[in-house]
Amino acid sequence: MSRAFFIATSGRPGPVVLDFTKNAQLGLTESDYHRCSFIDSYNPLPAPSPKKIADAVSLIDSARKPLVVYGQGIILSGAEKELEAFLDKADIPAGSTLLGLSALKSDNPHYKGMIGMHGNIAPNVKTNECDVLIAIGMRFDDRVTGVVSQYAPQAKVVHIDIDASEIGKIIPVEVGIRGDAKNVLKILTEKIAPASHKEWNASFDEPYNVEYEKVIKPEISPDEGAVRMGEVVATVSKVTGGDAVIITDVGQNQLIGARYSKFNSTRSLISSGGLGTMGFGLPAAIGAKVAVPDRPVCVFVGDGGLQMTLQEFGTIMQENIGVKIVLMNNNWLGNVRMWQDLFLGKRYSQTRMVNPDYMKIASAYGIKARRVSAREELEEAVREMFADNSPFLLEVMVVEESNVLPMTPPGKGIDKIMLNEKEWYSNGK
Amino acid sequence: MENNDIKLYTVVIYTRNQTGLLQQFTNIFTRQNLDIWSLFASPSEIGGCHKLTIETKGPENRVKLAVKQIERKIEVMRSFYYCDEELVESTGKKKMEPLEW
Repeated sequence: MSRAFFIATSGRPGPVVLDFTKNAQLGLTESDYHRCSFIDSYNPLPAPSPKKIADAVSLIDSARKPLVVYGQGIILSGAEKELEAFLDKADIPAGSTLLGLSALKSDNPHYKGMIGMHGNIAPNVKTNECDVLIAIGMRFDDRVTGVVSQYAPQAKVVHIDIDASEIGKIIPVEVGIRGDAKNVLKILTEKIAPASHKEWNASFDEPYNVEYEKVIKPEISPDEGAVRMGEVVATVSKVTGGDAVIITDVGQNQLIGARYSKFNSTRSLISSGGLGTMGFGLPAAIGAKVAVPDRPVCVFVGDGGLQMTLQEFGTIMQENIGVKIVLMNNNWLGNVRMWQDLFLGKRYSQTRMVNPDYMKIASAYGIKARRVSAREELEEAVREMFADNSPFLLEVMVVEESNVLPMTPPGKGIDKIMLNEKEWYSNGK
Repeated sequence: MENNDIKLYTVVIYTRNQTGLLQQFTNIFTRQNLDIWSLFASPSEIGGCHKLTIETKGPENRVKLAVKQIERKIEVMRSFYYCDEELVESTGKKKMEPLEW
């Protein structure tokens, strides 16, 4: 048991499988718990190699167009301040993976957005223009890289990770540093020379402006039509001032929730990431609210995902856990429908949803609920939801058939980005 | 940079003898699509420490990853890999050193 907890909570933390036989569950024994602090060949806090650090410093110092991509490793290691100091000193722009979101505040001047398939255009395009790519606490997931052979082929890659088996696994590295992100960043920040990359940083503005005009603005402030998911997420961010813990389920709600949420503090986004487990959102939100009862906790969930763990309304009722549930209902399994629309000739299969009356379900569990269909009611309804600390279900009837854009389609390089069904991003257009 | 031509590598693993270890090693080789050409397990000269010598043919990056994953996923003492030239050299000039990552 103690070994399981040692592995689960140290180094790169993660699940451990424990298998108890029936007789072990029922038998009696003397218990004498000894905390485990050592396992052969497992070093939870490896010291970074001085030679590798020196190599990385000289690469970073000589870089003219450096880019940092960081992941959940920053949050797990508690290296948010160290990352900020590193970016400030070296004046390097940074992009976050889905699970790294909220490690840097959304308004940090070096933060340029999310990387990956549905990330922001600027950090994705610039990945394939930078000369030195510094990856910290991330694993080059396939949603981040697109086609691996077309991912940053021009860049020299510095990869910092606590898990040696991640280094060089997907992307060949120039320098691989095994170590804890907090420790490595502290050492690197001390050793690198202060630098300024004004022009390079400014070059991120133009792709952002294109994305804002073509994608973000129509999503978060449309003039007409049904409510869009983006404006729901943006309204929650506006009302909470970016202080809420955001939980996403899986699907379009996850992508939109991650894209349009603003974060003021770390550990503010919980998502199942690459695991892609629908139904994750509601139980995760319950756990988050129990952990931080004083912060608002808001889960974005779709009509498909909510029904997979709907029985957890019972836990919310029983324990009176003040989770704010935002159900973005489009009567589809939206993300699968989107792929069938874009890549399978609109041959919709098993994605249409016939939904129950969620107001009645919420009322059966004694959870306050409200349904919104009109744009004019949205902000007032969100304010009502956050008015107190009790559980609340807000069902927003959103546009039925809408796609999450921009998008790097599967089988393409990360810099080949669809702006909508007809337009592709190319050099500022 | 690594040479990723297919070559014969010798993987050496030092471990305490525990039930079920061999299956865990072979799982890792299977996941990396590496054939095992020969396998030899015996007690080593250090008491309580067993030595496994596995010959496998494949590109260096996958052999290296398998060795890293052995150390990460399975409780072993240490694990190393060598190509034939290194093994021959080590008897004369070069000492067998663990890889630095």
